[in-house]
Amino acid sequence: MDQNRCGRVQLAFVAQPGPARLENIKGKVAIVGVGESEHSAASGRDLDDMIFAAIDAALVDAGLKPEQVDGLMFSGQSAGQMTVARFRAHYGLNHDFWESGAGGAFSFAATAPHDAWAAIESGKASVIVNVHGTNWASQNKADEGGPATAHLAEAMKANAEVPFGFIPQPVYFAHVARRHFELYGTRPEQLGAIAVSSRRHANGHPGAVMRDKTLTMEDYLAREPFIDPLRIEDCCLISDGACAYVMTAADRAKDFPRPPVIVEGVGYAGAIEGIHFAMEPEFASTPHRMSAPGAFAMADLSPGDVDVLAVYDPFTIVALMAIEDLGFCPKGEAGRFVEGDRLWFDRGRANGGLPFNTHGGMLSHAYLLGINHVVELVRQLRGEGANQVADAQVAVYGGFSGVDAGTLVMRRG
Amino acid sequence: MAEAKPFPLPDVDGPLAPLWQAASQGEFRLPRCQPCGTFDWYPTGECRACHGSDIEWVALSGRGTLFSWAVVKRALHKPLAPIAPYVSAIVVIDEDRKTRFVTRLVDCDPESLHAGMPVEVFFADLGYPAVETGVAAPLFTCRATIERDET
Repeated sequence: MDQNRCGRVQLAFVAQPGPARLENIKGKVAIVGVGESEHSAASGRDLDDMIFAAIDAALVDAGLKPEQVDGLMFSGQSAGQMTVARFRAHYGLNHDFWESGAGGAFSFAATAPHDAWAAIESGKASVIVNVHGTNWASQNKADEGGPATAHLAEAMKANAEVPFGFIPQPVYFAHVARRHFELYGTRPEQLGAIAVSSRRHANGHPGAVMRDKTLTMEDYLAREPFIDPLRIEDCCLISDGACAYVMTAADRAKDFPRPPVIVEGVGYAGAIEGIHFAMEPEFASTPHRMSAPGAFAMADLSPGDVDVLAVYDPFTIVALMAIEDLGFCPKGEAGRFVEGDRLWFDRGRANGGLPFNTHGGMLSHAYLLGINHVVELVRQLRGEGANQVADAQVAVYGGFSGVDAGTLVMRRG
Repeated sequence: MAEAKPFPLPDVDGPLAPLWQAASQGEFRLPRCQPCGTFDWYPTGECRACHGSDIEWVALSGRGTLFSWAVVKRALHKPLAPIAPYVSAIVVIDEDRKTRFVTRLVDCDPESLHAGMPVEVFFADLGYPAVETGVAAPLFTCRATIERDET
């Protein structure tokens, strides 16, 4: 029965091309707890153990007991994620839950508060946990799965892309990078600036998988591209781990122990050609360009108001495009924009900087599909960041999955 | 040592059978809406422009321009390892600048490539030149190379 219910939710959230019209939820939802498991390379750890470790940590952070949770959000599209039955069994509960398979990570880590508000407003839930875990590192090592699995099975890819060698994701995004280079004059060292800035942040973050491995621009440029123009440092990690965050009505946030983070704006948009990236009309671009304007309008803020940015960064080129598509610089100019120390947490907005992926992102923190980015931004807005941005008031998460983008604007409560 | 994984072949009788069957006869065909001329690629069966369903696979010149490319020095998808290094490419067909075709560039110097350069279909075995798969495929090559060879 739980399976059927989340199946319907999942079908209702298929990405439609173009920007979604979302109800205005400015100031309605607060994030009152965040938690993570340990993140690592291939570990053999059980996915369920990591997911519940993240939930346990988020509940401790929020000062909650499991029986106080009455809503669950997770990805209905990814294998092995949360179900109400497993949550009940794990904590020995039997009360009613509202659930949604339109949560988890990717773009949904941005849009989950929107769906959560619908449940809260209608009285279906009051305390909602959004969670996502992955054991893709272990799967990949065992040659059992990983990010390319769904792509290999898709009919057009299987018959018109894979046979030519257009697989997996690093090959797609090498083409995107090349096109960006050709159109806008973007250069490898500008992708390198994103890789180096991300690694610098991971080196200062105790939870980052790459905390002990440094990366200089000299190191980056000395590396031979393996899917030219991409180097291995342009590609995100593949990790094992899990993250969770807890949402409730903003007017209840004062009842929780940690400083609340208020959701100010949410946006969502689907790519025009879905998973067929090669066919996308705006090839050197992301759906962020369609998702961000609605989120900023809802929040009554603009990119210039943002103190700290986290974007879904499967590849340096995707992060670079996200920066311009979200509106932080004109289209095509992100290459020059990201050079030097612009993205470093300690330069700050007041000095013309744009503190970016202050945990290291998926490139250097962990491949937790962006839900780790939301956890990091909540900590930044509370003033708890390992690489704390001075006086961080407004944060934006740019979620992405290739087929869609979600934008989440948050403010310190 | 693990057994080598088979090269990824299309289902020549599957959803894109007309593409692969045309290739086996030395033709490059894509589906086009007959009334309005818009290409239906990848095929949906419904024209993206006029929403009609009168779509036919038409023979094309095989000429196009290079849209983007990547030099795959190390194949992450292991069954493709035998053809690495290879040049993965997206080309725009001359008949419609909005229609792109994913393919592989062969017999071209990767250092000489740039967006917009003329390319031309080159029918060969899908695994050319490294592997014999038995499936004929519309690969592409640099048009200037062919013209130079002919003179």
